[in-house]
Amino acid sequence: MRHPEDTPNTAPNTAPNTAPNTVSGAELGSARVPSPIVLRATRILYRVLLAAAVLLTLRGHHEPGGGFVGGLFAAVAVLTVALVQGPKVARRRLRVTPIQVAALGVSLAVASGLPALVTGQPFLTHTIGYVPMVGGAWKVSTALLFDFGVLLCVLGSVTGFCLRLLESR
Amino acid sequence: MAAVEGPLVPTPRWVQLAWLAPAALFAVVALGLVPEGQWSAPWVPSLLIEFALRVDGLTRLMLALISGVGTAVFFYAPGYLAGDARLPRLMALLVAFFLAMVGAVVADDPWTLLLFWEATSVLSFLLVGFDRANRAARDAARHALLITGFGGLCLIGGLLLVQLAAPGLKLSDLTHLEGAHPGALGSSLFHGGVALVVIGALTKSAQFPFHAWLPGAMTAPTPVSAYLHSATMVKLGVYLLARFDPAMDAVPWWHHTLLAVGAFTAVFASVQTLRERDLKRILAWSTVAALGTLTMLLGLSDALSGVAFTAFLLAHALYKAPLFFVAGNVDHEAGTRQIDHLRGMRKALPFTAAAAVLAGASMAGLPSSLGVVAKDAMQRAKDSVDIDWYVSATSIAVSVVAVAVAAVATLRVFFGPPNDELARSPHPQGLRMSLPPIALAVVGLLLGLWHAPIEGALLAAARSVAPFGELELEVLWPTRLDGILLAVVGGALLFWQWDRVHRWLEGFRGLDAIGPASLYERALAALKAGAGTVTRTAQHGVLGRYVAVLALAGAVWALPFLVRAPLPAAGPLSAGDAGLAAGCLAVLAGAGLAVVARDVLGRLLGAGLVGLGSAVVFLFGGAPDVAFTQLAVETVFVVVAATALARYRVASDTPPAPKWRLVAAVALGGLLGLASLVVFAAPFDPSLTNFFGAASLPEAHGRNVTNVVLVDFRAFDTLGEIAVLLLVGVAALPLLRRNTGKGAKA
Repeated sequence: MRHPEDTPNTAPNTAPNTAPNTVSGAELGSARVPSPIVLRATRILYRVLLAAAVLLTLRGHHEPGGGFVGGLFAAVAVLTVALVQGPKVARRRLRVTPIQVAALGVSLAVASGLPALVTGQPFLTHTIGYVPMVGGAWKVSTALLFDFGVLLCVLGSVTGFCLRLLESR
Repeated sequence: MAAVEGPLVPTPRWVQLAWLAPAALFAVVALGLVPEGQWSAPWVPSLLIEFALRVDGLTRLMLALISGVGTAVFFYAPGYLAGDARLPRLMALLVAFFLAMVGAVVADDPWTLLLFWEATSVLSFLLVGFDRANRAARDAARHALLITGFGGLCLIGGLLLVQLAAPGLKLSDLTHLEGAHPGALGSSLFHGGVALVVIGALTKSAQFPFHAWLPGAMTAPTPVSAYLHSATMVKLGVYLLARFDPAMDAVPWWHHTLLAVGAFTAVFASVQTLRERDLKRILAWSTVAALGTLTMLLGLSDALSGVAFTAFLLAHALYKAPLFFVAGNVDHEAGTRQIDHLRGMRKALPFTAAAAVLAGASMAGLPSSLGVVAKDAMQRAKDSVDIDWYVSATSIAVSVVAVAVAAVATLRVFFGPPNDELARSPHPQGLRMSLPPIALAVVGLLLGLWHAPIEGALLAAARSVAPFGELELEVLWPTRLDGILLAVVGGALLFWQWDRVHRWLEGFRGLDAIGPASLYERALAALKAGAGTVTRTAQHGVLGRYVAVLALAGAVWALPFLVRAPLPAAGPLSAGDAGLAAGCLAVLAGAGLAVVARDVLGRLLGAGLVGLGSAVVFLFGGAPDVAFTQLAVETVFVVVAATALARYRVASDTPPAPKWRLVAAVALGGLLGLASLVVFAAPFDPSLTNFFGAASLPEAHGRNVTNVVLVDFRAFDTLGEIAVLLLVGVAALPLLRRNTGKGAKA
């Protein structure tokens, strides 16, 4: 179940049961080596936080939540990884650069406004539809797309700055 | 300037044939195929702005000028810069300028005019600074742009005011303003607007005190000087004044301003002409003097002054453009424009010499040239109305200097024994360089002998400027020769004593020190110095001082308003208040911790506690969304800041802060506290809250009003905000890279 990305690329190739968990001191700012308990907790926390981010965004239209706070939760997820395993690992989790994440978010938000133009309504007039699914019809709207755009933009810029701060020396 | 640098580059075909474009327009205008009339398309209907065009007599005359001189210039330029790799750029800019000029003179709507007007300013900037490796050219270009750009701003303001007084005003309305917009002339807004328009026109036509950019613009290549800075663009200012003249004719300040500015400019520029040794700058100053004369003529209110204006407009273009070509050819051949070294050039440049003589004759106003027609009309215009003595005196003085300048440009440069010390250009001057000056000068002379082809056109143009009923055609025939004789004799004497007069006038250094040119230099230097001082004092980089200044300034500004505002009355406590109180206690505890903590980490934790406390306050205050967000932000902030701070060696024991910081902190805190109390005391307008509360579910299908406002009702705002977030990242992250280790990705 070990994530291949959990292995820091700066780790010295020593004993197999300690090497993957070793993080260079320069990356963390201390010579502390995370214990297996912390590492496992981080992986769980990462997934829980991401799930929370998505859930917060999904339910945001009716209950407290939304893309902004969802983006912050997602950023916390990535930054948790950065704090424990180093910014490099966190960057690999993002797969693309933070700026690209933010740009994708803005593009998504713009794209959510385009369907309205096709029907002759003002830009960003949201349309809504119901998709039959298990457990009843699911509400799907372009507003949700917009909110995920906000999520990605917040995630990208917060992680962009914080990771840069963590990398500074 | 004319020297070819680098390897010879073949001239592209389109550059060779570009002259056909203005030639085609000239043919259409000359054959009378451009009908008089108006045409418009809606542009901004809500503001009564149209894309409106109009053709009348004056427009036709200007079109003929722009296309006629344009043909000569476009034909000349490929010869002048033959083999220069920059020639296509010059030609492209000239073509763009040609189109902008055409647009400016056919525009009827003021905003349409403004569009093309500004385009000519920008193109003039690019053309003056054409030789961009040359520092003098760049400075001159900036000077021209700053002055004409300032004039453009005045023009915008003026047109706005004019349109407030006369909504939807077209330039064609100005001939019958009282009928089209009754009462406009009585409005002070209209007069203020016209005053600003006058300033804009004066900058464009290089009138005192905005004239200094024009002689500087002589760093431009010869085709540019001949086209923009003598024949067309600088005429745009007087053209606009001529458009306003029919409406403003009865207004005293209009006359007096135009007469005074025009006369002073003409005299001032004539004196400056005598202080120059550079042939091109001599011509430039005499152009300023001619523009002053045109402005002065508009200040006279008489039908004849309209004839004089249009005749001189045409005559000046037909002699000044060839003289600029002559100066360019001489420079090209001899490598200098200093009149001290130039003599006997007729052997080397026979055709140019002929052109110079013909154009010079017209400039001097010798009989049988178009120049004499213009001069005669001017003289009779002045005779027919009561005018101040200085107008007549100015006109005579300017004529005398014009004769002398014509003599310098022809007799002095081309006759007498050749100067053997001058280098000879290895490149012979072909048809491209000798034909245009000859052609224009011959046309100028022929039209003086035989007016028939232009009589109708000139009178039609004059009627646009001064619509005072029918004019007789005979006005174009010279009747008074005494003034012309006086000018010729005076000019001959001045030419004879040119060097002595020059040395005498050159001694007046004061003219340079108090002139607007040096004023411009000093203003530019002062601007730089002032900006430096402001930046050094305001942007000192001490964070604590920034905060203190902001706090104290805010307190001083807001306190007088706040102390008089009512404070909220205490109400009964409710169950939710316990949570609010808990949050407030946490905030207070955090603030206290941040103040008393002696190390950075303790202060950071205190700040974090303040944030958590506010999250609790938000939660019980009915804003769970904000509470969530606050919680997440606070967590990220404390953890990341703590990790980052661990990197830096921050001194744990900082010295105690100076006392004034305590004052600033108390002032800011007290101010914000008082402000929040006052805000709560103000009656709350619930209309927006009620609207969003009621519309959220039925219109946007969401129960969380905060979220619905963000993603639906105000989605455009949110889009703007996240776009800013992205842009900040794009702009700031590369700057932070400097502090990171090698190989970090953006």
